[in-house]
Amino acid sequence: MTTARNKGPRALPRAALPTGPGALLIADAEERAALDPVLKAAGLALTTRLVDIREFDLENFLLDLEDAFEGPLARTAVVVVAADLLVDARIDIINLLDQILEPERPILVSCSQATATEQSALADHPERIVGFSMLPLLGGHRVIEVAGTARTDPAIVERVRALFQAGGLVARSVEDRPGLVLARILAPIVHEAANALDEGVASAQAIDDAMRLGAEWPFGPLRWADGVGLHRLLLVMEFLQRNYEDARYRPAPIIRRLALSGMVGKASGQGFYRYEPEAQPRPRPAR
Amino acid sequence: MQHLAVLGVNELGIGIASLALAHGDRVSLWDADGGALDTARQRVEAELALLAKRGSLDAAARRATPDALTLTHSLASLSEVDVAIDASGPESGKAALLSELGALLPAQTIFATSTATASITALAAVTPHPTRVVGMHFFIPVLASAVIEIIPGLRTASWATDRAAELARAWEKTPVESRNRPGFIVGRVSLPFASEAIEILDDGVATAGTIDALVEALGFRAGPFAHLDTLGLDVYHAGCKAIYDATFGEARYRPSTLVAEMLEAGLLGRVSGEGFYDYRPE
Repeated sequence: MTTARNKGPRALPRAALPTGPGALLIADAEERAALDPVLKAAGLALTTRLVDIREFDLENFLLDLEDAFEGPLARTAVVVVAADLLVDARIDIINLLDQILEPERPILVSCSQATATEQSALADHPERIVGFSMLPLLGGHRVIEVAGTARTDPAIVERVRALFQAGGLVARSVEDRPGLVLARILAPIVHEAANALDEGVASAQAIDDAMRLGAEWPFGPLRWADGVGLHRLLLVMEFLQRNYEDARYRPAPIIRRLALSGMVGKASGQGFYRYEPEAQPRPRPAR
Repeated sequence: MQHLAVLGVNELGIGIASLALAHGDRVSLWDADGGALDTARQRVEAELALLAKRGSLDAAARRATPDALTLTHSLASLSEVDVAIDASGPESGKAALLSELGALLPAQTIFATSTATASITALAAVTPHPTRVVGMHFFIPVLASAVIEIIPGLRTASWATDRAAELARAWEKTPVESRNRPGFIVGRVSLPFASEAIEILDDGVATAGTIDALVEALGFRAGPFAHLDTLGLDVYHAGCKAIYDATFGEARYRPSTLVAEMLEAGLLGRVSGEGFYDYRPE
């Protein structure tokens, strides 16, 4: 049992000690921005391993992770694997974590690109692997779904759900099916709005206005999509299509076109809308 | 001030008539059913009283109403109006009505029709002057809604579309122009909100209560099942089928077998006391 305080003779200065159970987050910058406040609000001392898809080296990442768990990360109580854009490398990261982390410590895996079942298929300790949804968090909503697999210990699912609730989210437990609940509703809505735009039914602004004012939605689907990232929404839809093998999940061609052109939304300055770069604060000239 | 004909004494027609009266227009409200006409004046006045109570109707407009509203079951009496708006219900009878009134109205009179799922091009084609026929899709409740979808058909002239948008603005609604594609904007884009939720429920991923709670946490006023029960499962299913048929079987608009079975059992939502939730007193 690890405690926050180390009473041994070689104790580090107290300021250097974690203030609560340690959590490791593996995420890209956008995912960290969404999850960081939640995990901290849940009282976890958070360490982040940032991943950048453009310069990701799996072998070094795994070696570094293994080393860290012998040293500074030894007390890690829970690991959260977001890193949605590392579509293939994620499974190696999860399998390594499963081997080096004691079996009672939960591993949380994002279910935007694969089910928790699929991601724990090769694990020695699948009972502590719990899925969660990343998409609503990226859209700025304070809601999360968690999903245990047929092999997950229900008590661990409940602990994870309670953890997110403590972090200030509306947290519910659902069955582990592709897209869980919210991604399976939100992604098709965005692709439908994109198809309407592509067919010349109306402009992006008119579609968003109609949905906000006419259907009283809290956000216009196309502006929301720009905030989440069109590349992510493309991957989610492809994942749904692959798993359900149903033409209703066919990605909108315009989303594929924009994503492959690097026009992924707000982060790139252009998606369905154009975004002016925010002015950087400059030093005031001396008088 | 303009003179408006509104066809159909139903929730939509009463709403449109009240909206126009509240903005100082003259209205001739038509219905073939004399029984419906008997209660029409009362229903319009109730709508306007509600507006007055909210402070969004001045006393002058209220006093003017009794004279400004005419009730009629004669289509011939409508030939002098500036604008005609069809709010008639069953889509099957709509074409015959449009064809009959279309022959009576001068060619420059704008002729709007409100439909959620019918093709404006098809409705226009049964009239002698299809260029002045335009879709104006009102949302219910008419007085409270903020938007009117304006839908030109394939042969609609731009002046007719512009006049419809002007009308919407004069009534303090935002006009949003949509191409005449099945479901227009709102019906189409909001379809997956309901249809995906139904698939998710049918697959046993979560209960209706959990799905609604998750969706409401995104900021939606009602989750998909609370929304469907209020709308009516029969209304949803018919709309879904209409869009599915109009797109020759597009998979995204496939109606749900779960909803079809609920309808077989008489579960229509709030109106029947049972839908995805149970509303019957315990």
